[in-house]
Amino acid sequence: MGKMGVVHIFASQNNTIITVTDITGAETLAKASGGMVVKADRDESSPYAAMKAVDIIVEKLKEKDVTDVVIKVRAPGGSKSHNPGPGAQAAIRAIARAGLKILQIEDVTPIPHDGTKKKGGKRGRRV
Amino acid sequence: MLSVRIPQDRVGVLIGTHGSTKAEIEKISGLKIEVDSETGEVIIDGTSASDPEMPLKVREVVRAIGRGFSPKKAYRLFDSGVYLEIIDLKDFVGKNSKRMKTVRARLIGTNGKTRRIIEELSEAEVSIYGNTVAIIGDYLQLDISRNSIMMILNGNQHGTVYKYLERRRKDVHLSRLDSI
Repeated sequence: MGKMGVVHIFASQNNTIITVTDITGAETLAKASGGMVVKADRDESSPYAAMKAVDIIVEKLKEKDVTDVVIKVRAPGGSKSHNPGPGAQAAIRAIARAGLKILQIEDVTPIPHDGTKKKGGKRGRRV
Repeated sequence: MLSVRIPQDRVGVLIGTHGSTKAEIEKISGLKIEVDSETGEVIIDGTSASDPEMPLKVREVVRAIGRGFSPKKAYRLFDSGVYLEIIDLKDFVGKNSKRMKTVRARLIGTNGKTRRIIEELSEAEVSIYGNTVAIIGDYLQLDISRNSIMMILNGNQHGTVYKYLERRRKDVHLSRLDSI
């Protein structure tokens, strides 16, 4: 029986960042991001990049004998978007396919209990 | 355990006649969903899921129905690689309700012409409901339809947007070849 880890997936519209910690959350076991595996900036958030990033993670986790994982997905949240980017779904599927046992999936997007003003101003986003 | 809140006038669509739509979603996903028809709160019980992704997918389907899609179109989200994107028009328009009306009208077009052309050429599903635009499609379809919607929001002429869509059409064709 291997160890348990927590996979934190931060999926924004521009990138997907995956960090694996032990159950306390204080000790990082592995980390990877979409930007580490693709060349073009616009592909960092793509499902393909997320899958590649998971490959890096899985390799490191095998070395460290982690077999069971809890997944925590989040979007930027707060005053920004609450919908996870396309990388989130792809990353979860890649983790399942890699043979890691998923114990639980949680959505940990920060929800403001009335926080700061959303950017953009009165007249909205202008280009 | 996940929860979403959907507008009250979409609750009826989510449940369906005598609960048929809700039952269908439960059958496809194998999960239980609970709908509070007064507040519009939807609770998805993911404990019995065999597929770890399923609860998240169901949440996307419910959210899509809440954003004005018909259940039939929303079921596309059960396929892998199909995503839902919700664009809040308030981010672009600001607080001016008159301008919101104009912008929405520009997105929909005469008798829904613009929306239909975006849907047909990008092969994504587009729904304009309240102050949001929701898109269902795969990564490429989302990219194309999102860009064209952004172009309209930024004030480009419709003709320019249609030209852009035509140009990207070949990418859609190529991606279909890839999947075979």
